[in-house]
Amino acid sequence: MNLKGGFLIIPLLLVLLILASFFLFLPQNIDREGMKTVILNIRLPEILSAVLTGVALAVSGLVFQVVLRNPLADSYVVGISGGGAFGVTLSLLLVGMGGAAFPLRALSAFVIGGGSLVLLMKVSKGNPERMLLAGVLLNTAFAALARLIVSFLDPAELAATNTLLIGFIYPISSFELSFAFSVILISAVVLLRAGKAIDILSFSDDEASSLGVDVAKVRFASLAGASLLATTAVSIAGMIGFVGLIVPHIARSVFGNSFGRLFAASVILGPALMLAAYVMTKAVSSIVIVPVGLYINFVGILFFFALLMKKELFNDS
Amino acid sequence: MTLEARGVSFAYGSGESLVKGFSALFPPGSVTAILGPNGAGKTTFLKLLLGLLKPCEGEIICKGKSISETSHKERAETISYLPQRSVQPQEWSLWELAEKGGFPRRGGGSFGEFIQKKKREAGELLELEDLWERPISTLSGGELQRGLIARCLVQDCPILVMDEPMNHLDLAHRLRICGLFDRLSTEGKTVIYAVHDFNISIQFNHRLFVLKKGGEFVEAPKERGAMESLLKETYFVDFSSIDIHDFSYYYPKKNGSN
Repeated sequence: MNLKGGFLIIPLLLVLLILASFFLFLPQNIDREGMKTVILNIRLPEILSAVLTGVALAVSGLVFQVVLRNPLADSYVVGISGGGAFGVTLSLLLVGMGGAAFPLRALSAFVIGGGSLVLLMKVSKGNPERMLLAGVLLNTAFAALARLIVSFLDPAELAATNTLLIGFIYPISSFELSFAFSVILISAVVLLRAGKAIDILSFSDDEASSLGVDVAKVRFASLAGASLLATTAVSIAGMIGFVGLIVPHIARSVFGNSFGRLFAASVILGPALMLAAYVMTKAVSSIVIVPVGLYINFVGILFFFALLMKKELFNDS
Repeated sequence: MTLEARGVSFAYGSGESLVKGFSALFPPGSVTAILGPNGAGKTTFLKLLLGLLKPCEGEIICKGKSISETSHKERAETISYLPQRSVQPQEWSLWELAEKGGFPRRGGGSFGEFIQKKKREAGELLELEDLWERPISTLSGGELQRGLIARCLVQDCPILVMDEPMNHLDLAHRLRICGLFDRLSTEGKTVIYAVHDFNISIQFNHRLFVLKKGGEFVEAPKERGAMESLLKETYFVDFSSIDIHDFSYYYPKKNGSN
């Protein structure tokens, strides 16, 4: 595998995607002033939202996969994002959408997503397999609860909730932006610093412990960081699945296995995937408005089939 | 460094005793083998030594204090552990597995040099030079086992606790591992390992403990007759032995034969 080539091509791809997101598919017959408004007031905040969401989801997925020792794990599978989305849906019911409602939206996502993590850790006593199973149940429970809420909504609220549950990119306010940026930066720095210990968690608990890792502590701290990232993503962009699942796999096939390298690759590839989906949304939006989450799902499913057919990822080689 | 078991007893919950009132010193430069039937508690005993389990009675003493009061980091700098069953990502290369032994010492100024030196040493001793870059999924059981032993060498601790290090290894590599233990002991390290095929431990003159079902430890006697009856009490099959050069070779007897 040509590592150097990979390192060069992927950031380049990201830059191209950012440029494309700014300038492609601008409205026809628009004057200079109008174009400036669209680019600065709509495109720029949307791109920043997509980038932040991409980083948060990719890094969060990476941590879940490594810590739970499972290539299919992420915050969606174990119900943390589902918990966050349930929190967001509740806040939609209480205070509606819009920038002013954001603090409550983020808070309820954190509280319910974080509470889910604590519950999972308690139920599973830290055992990764048990945690995955309990998480699948929890996820189903949140999906059912969300559906229950939806049945009480009026059409306008219903539309907002639907967009949320599929995943969307909107021009986020500078408050949302700085809030999400700080949370993501702090969690990412903490996770990166714990990177070598997180790598050791790939071993059995006894081995990790004999190598000097306080398994319970590192496992909880890293999953808490990953959950914070995942629920932040939910509060600014809804339920965008698959990024956390796919990106670490692509990263692994190009950049090797150490957490530090995978982290760096995820920080670049996550936004790249989000922006690719964003460009697609813009390309099609003249015909019909399709939320970004749907594109990610299409790409994600195709990609995952390809991945499943590539044997080496699993032990049956 | 000396590891000491002081009146150690252990049972899971209210189950059968796996270790009963065991006291022994494992001084620097000693190599000790522990044998016993399946399920007797060899792994459990090794986990007690490592502080992964806490004795119901008694304590394990290392550096003048109980191992259960030692921090994770200090333990990882003192005892390296070869588990009987390791879990590891199949896509890692063998060196990615082995280098994790350096985790407790990471970050120091000369760490890079240290780890390269350990890679060369372990590669040579365990014949791993050509295997370092191979993904674990493509390795044989014995090759992986040697990689795990390499992780212990990279960890470079004064005490090594190894749970069935001979597993999956061919006879030549078993010989090499015993040679490695002797070499480690001349460097003043303490080696404690569990083993089934104990003849090789006798050949290398390692100290030998037999763990019987019910948790009783017995130091293996040198005299052949006494050893044969101890083995019979332990495994419930008849044993016979022959002298080969300067050591005795013990083998279980087929029904009705000699």
